[in-house]
Amino acid sequence: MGDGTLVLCLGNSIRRDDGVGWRVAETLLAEAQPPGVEVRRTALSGLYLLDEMEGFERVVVVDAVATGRHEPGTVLSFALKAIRVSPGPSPHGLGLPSVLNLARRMGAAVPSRVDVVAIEVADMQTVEIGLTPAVEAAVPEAALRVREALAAG
Amino acid sequence: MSQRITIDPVTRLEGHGKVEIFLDDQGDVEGAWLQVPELRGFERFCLGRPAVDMPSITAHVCGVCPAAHHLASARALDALYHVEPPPAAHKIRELYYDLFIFEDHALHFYYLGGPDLVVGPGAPAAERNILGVIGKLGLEAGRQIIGARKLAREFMTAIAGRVTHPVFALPGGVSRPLDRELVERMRQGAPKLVDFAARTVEAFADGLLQAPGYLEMLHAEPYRLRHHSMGLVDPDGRLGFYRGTVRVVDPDGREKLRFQPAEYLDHIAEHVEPWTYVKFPYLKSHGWRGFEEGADSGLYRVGPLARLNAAERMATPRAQAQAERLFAALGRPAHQTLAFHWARLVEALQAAEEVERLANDPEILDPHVRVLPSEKPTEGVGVVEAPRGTLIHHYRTDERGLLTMVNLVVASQHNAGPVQISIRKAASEVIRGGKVDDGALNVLEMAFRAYDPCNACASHSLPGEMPMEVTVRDRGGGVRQVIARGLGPGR
Repeated sequence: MGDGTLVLCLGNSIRRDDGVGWRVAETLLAEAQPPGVEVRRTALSGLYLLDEMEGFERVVVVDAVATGRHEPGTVLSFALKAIRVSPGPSPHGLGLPSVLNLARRMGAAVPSRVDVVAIEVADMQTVEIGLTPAVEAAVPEAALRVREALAAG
Repeated sequence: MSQRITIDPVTRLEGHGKVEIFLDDQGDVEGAWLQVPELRGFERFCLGRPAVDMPSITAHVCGVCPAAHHLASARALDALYHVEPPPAAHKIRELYYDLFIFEDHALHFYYLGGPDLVVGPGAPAAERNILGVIGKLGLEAGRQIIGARKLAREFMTAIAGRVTHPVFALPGGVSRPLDRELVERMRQGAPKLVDFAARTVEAFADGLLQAPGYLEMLHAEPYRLRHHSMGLVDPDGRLGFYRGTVRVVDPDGREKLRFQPAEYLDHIAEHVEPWTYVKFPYLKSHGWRGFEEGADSGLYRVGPLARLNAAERMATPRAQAQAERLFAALGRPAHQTLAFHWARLVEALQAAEEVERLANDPEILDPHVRVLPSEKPTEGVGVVEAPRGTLIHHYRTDERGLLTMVNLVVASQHNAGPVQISIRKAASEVIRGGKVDDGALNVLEMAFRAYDPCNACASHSLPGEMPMEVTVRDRGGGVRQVIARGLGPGR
């Protein structure tokens, strides 16, 4: 693996709050990045994320989350390894923990550390551009949390 | 009904499927339904937008098969603008699409459908996932899957600009010709794809035929559904992914319909049920006869197995040989739901062979790749075979090309009726006396996961993997038992 850090913002901008990762990317990209940090937006998921992460030592993933246990707009940050892995992955919905476990098991180089900044959403089902107000309001905080995760080096 | 068992959401399917099983007083299955969430507001989102944006918009709706939407949309725009792309443009689109079918089928088989058959339905859920498959087939096979897919996706990116959300197909053709260097790389790489696909389908068929348990499972009643089959064919009746006419055969394999994409509304109608927003398509010639199988039912299936049934033959020699092996083992037409997996591998081989053929076709380098539209847009229908089945895009616009009507019929919709019957049949077999165990749930899942229903895709919030929760309710609706596996963060 390389030595850079990737901020990987996931989302689909025409699925309402699912676009929050991309909005956070816009906010981050409005400023200069710390040395060795690259910010990317992607609509990929599952195994395809391995392609995106190739060559980075550290990755901070920014994504929408629908736990249903937090108010929309709540920003969560945690290490990826805190997520328990489900036993039933799909190629379309294969979660990051499984992706990384798989890659590791197959002898591929994977980032040594993956942190997650997730924003609880209200609506990801409606086809529409634009976030719901509570989620839109959370964008600056999410960007701040990404900066903090990067600084925690 | 005294108990309700809820399986929500189903593992290994994108989107949130929810299975409701209703038990009678004896705890036996009275009814079983898959509830499918609807993508809300898509048509409203599109109306008033330029139709030329649709190949891009629709590709964004679905994060799983954007290539299929992109090309169905481009085909609809060709018709809408009354423009026929030059031969090289069709070939470039087709080459790209064969690469996509190959990599999607390979992915699907190994990561989604394969586990059921390669590892075994009785294995614990954790063993049935990709790690189980890799464990059984060995690390080397895993590397080959990744290597073959990587090669295919590299070519797709080179042709389409971006792999996930292609931007190359335009009304009347494609945005740019292929360069010689890329085509040369594809000529050299294509045999690797063919080898991989051929070895995979052969290994699968060998393994299947040598394992009597699996063959019995394929033939078992819960996984058998006699329906009409629909798929695109070329003028010679050969299976096509990118273009052709729609052919429908009855459960005995007799041709019932052959129609042009633009005529789809003459042949397909949709039935509405009060309990779901999903509409159930059926053949107008038969009328709606409820959720029943057989020659009298207007229900039909789409997808890999249906395509093999609907076509007179495969388009390539090695795939044809493999299709013959499948039909020899299962009968023709094949109605074994789980044979969808096998059919998928036969199709992956055709796609790989087609990549090789097209990469070696001198016309693929022709720089004439677009005819500019000059007529006013009116109405257009585009049909392609998505990995999961027939995909229809239908647009109407005003004379400025702004959308006034949008209708998409996706594969999962065509299969929406048959999948309900599959669930009911599987549930009746494995849930008796109110008793549900993990193995039974696996069987139930298998019955409809073979359809690979694609529900409200492209939303991919964390953790990205879906938990499974089964709630067994008593007569009053109270929770009697909860079986859960794979819960998300914070629980």
